[in-house]
Amino acid sequence: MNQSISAYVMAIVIALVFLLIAAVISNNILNEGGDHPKDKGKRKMWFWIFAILCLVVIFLIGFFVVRPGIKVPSMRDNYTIALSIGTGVAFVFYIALGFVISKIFQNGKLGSWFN
Amino acid sequence: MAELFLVCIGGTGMRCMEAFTHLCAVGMFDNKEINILSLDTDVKNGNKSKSEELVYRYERIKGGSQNGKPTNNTFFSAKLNLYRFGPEYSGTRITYDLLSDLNSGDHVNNQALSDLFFDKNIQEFKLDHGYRAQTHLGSMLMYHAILEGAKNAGKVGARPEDKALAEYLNKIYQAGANAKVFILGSIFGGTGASSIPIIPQALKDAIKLKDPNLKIDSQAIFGSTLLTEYFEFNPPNDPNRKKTEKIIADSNNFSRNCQAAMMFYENDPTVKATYKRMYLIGWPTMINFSADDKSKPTITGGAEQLNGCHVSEFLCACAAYDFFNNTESESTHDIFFRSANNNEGSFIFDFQDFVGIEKANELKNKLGCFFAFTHLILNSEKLAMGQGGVKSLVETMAHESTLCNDYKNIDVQDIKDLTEYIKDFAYQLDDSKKVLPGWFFQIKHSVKGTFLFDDKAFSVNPKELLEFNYGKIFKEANHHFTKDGKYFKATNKDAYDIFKKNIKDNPLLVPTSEKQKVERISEKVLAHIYNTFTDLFKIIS
Repeated sequence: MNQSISAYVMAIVIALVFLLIAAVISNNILNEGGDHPKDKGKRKMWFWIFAILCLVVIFLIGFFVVRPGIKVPSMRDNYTIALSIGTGVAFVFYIALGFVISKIFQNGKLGSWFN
Repeated sequence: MAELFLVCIGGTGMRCMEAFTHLCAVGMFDNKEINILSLDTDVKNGNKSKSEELVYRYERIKGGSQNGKPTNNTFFSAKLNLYRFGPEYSGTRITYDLLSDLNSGDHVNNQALSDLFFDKNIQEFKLDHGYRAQTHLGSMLMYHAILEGAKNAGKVGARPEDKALAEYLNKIYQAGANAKVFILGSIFGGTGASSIPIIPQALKDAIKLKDPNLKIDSQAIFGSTLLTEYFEFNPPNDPNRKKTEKIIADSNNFSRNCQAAMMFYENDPTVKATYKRMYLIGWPTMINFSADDKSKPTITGGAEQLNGCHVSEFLCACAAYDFFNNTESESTHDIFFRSANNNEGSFIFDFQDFVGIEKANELKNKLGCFFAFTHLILNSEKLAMGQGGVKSLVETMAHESTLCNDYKNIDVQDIKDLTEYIKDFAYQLDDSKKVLPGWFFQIKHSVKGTFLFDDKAFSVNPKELLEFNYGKIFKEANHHFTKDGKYFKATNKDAYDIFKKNIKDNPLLVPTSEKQKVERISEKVLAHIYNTFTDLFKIIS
């Protein structure tokens, strides 16, 4: 049970870290002018890159780093299930929180994620 | 409060008018309304057409000659009203002998009297390209042209030029003792040199034609530039040309013309009584306007005459600025000149060399902010590449701040006029991406060496120009609003980023109609841009 909870916690924490990195990178992308500015596209791109990375990294860490340390097979299986669900939840959490943040700062650089 | 009148005479006067218009555009004439009379015999002159179109564009940016109003502490703050006048030299009035109708009446004595003053060639050359340095003829003809124009203005079928002249004269009359009239022209050529001595008297006599009791107030003040030669051109190499055209202007005579003119102005009591301030402006080296292609015919007038701009013309515009802003007593006749530091043949200009120490920071800020604005539009908003430009910036500003939401309703014509004005002022790229220098770039290139701002701001390399960081437009580091990082230099993208951030985050920069008197949307946009750059550069508060 504790391992299952730790899978969810790890997933959420990693999602938050990646969202923070995406925000820092987005803020450092400079504004561009002209008819076809590319800065918004670049910020969107980094948001989704980290969304995918978040999903991959959570699962890889959980499967290759944490799971081998669980000796009891039934607990290992439970962890695997929790890890799978947690990865999906974290991915959705990342996107949902990113959406909320982009709406709060819709006139700022982070507004580019979903505008 | 003084009412301001500018008379711009001849080809050089037209280029001075162009420089004066740009000085108004950067905002050096806050709260002022200036009436400009453009006066030239050469109605198709390229410089004349270009300068007049610039003033008309300025008028449109201000909301038109009827609705525009002076604003304060912003770009395009002055209101300009343009009146165009030129004598009619065409058809049966194209030469002196036709115009003066020598063959009527006692034609023998008429001809003898004319021959006493003018050579045959002078009586027979065509006047439609100007007086070709024949100032003894030009002064007389211009004086009578002004009087004739004023007389004909009230008649049925009067020319628009005559009506414009009459309206201008009426404004001077209405201004009374508050009238300040400044004349911009050269003393080495034809039209300016001919007209400067007689303009005040011609205007006074022309007003009397409407009503003998009317007169320009004796307290009205006149001033003028005395611009000596700063360019030359190759003598025509076609031997038939002199035969057909009778008189051809020769730049070899310019120095002598200037000497004679200045001796006249120094000694003539009428000039001293009329002009309270005269500004001596000269340049030590000559530009050769026909240096590029000696095989081409020399152009001395007409639509093809479109000579590059020179810093002397900017100095003339600054002379007008000094005259209009002077508050000291004008009871005596004064002649002014200014010198600048010179290092191995290059002038090292500072802002105080143009407007004096007290106003130097004002010029530095306004000219710097406007120049940075043009770079932002051409460079960051990619107008130079044929993209958004002003429209793009306005949409960005409207998006960034809720206080700027109404900016998106800016008039389409205002966007178009601002776009063209920016290209005229700074530069544009042709189809092959070569830099075509605008007015300010031409001014800089007429000065050997550095000129007021970072040299890269005037680059003719398109790549360097499009990457120029206008956050560092001033040479002094304490006026840079972008800072280099430890490993990377700041770029124009950083400048744009900071500009946009200030629009978004600083509501104090939004202009108010109380302080800056801005009402139209385009004026609010310009004031907001001015306030933002002023805040960023920190030259004045």
